[in-house]
Amino acid sequence: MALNQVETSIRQSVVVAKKRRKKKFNFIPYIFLLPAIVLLSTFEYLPTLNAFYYSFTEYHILAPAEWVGMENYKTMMQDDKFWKALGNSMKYFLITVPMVVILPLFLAILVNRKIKGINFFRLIYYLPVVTAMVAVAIMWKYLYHPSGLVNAFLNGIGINAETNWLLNTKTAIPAVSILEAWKAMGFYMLIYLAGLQAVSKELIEAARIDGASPLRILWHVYLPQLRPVFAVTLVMATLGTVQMFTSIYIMTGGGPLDSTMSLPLYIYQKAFVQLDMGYATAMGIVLWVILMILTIINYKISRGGHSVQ
Amino acid sequence: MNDKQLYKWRKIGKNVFLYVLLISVSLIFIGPFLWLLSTALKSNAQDVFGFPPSFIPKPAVFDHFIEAWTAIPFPRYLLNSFLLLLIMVPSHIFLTALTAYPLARMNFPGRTFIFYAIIATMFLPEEGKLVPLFIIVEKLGMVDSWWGLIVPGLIGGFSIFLMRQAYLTIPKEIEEAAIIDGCGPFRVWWSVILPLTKPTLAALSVFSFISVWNSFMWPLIILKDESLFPIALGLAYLSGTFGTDVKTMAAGVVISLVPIIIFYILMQRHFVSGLQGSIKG
Repeated sequence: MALNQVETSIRQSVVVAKKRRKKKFNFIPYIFLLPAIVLLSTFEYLPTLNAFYYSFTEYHILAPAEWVGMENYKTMMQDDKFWKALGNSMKYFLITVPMVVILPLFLAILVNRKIKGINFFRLIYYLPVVTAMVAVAIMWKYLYHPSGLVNAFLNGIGINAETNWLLNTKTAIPAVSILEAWKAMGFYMLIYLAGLQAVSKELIEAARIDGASPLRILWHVYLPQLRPVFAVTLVMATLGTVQMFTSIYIMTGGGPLDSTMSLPLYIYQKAFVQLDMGYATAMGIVLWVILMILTIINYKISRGGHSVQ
Repeated sequence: MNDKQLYKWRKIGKNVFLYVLLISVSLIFIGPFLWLLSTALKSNAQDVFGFPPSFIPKPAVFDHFIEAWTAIPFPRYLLNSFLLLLIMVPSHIFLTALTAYPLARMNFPGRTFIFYAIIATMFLPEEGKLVPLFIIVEKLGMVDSWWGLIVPGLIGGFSIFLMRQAYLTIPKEIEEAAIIDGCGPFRVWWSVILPLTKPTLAALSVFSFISVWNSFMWPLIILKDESLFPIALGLAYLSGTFGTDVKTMAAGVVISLVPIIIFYILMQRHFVSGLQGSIKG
């Protein structure tokens, strides 16, 4: 009790001393923050504000921007390539997201045990995550060669395959999506692993003593507790697929016949190949709005799940 | 056979099954890399796309690695990427740590506002601001130079957020003791508090390393001069011109992968801890 009083009185005197020293305006925190404020205003806020302005202009980098009102947005509504890119994003989403939200859970269950060498396997499953997309996209381009490893494997298990995966309008999107999923699975596996390890051991033990089978434990004990983790992976995977760029750029360049074109790649081509900066910025803003809406929907869904629980 | 033995055999059987499963799944993830390596090692006489596919180069030759190293500017790209790492990772970490400190440990007018303004940058449209950012960088005369790569990447909302979380876990008493001992605010930060955040600093460095080494879109947009290309951009450029020479290209990709894989194996601990930190946050 007495000791506590001494401690509080010391603390108070420290506070008083600090206050006395800080009577003058304390500019020290602002010195710490100055570089960040300058950098973030110049390279985050200023471009964002400019984006809204440029999206209402016709702007080719050499001539000054010219105000055209809603023209860019109107053009977009009638731009087949823009709608095609949006539709493609939907296809990428439908193939990639289930793969990276579901399969990694099984990977996590597989590696969530204490046996010799398990860290080695985790390391290997995570390896594609750390490698550059450029490098693995070039590698997979060779795998998808008409007489490459993918077709050889299919032939090996008795499916006659001679497809040129990346040059066929029907197979190009699945091919790119599979590469994207393959590269990201290790990442989602680690997220699920952290989630699995947070599930209370007592609960599992209790279920086991009650004679529940491993499948029922998975369904009734693990899955309900993993719901917030599902929400995280779903949001991340959704945002990831809408922003796909590098894999498509390397593997198909958006072709054949724009069948793999994504919105980021189209924005890039408009802005930096055709130098149509105003229109590209307008599409960038639409993409941003889409991402925001998806994020909000995802959060709503996951919250809804919570309240049901 | 008694019960004990039966149990033992069952356990061994289960483990064998597990390892077979673990190894087969490994092949999905590591198989493509092994194929790439074997392709790079195959001699010109051996067909890359023959059927059935062969994983064993007969004979294994290093010609393609030598070619990738000498005929095309791979060493240049690698050197560029290493230099960029040396500049960008420390400066990013330094500025992040500097910025997050007062946000976690000092009281001053406008703190909450500044903190939210920084966090909000995470939600600013990457694609929306791509073009205007390019125009600003262009007006600052930083296009087609490393300045344009380095300066906009110096700081980011997400790392500041993680760093602030790390500072918040340190007890106030440590700081108070240092202040009573007469340390100035920069001394307190640099020599007392910063060393206590080593795990987060390590995790941030790992993320920064990977993103610098693998970055592609931004360098693609602002660099024209081939001699400035970092490795990922160089690879993409070569796959356009050298793409048909599969074995040399494969050797080039292998060369580009080696540093990141070595780094990954050395720093694996921090990948997991950093990831967990980022999810908690």
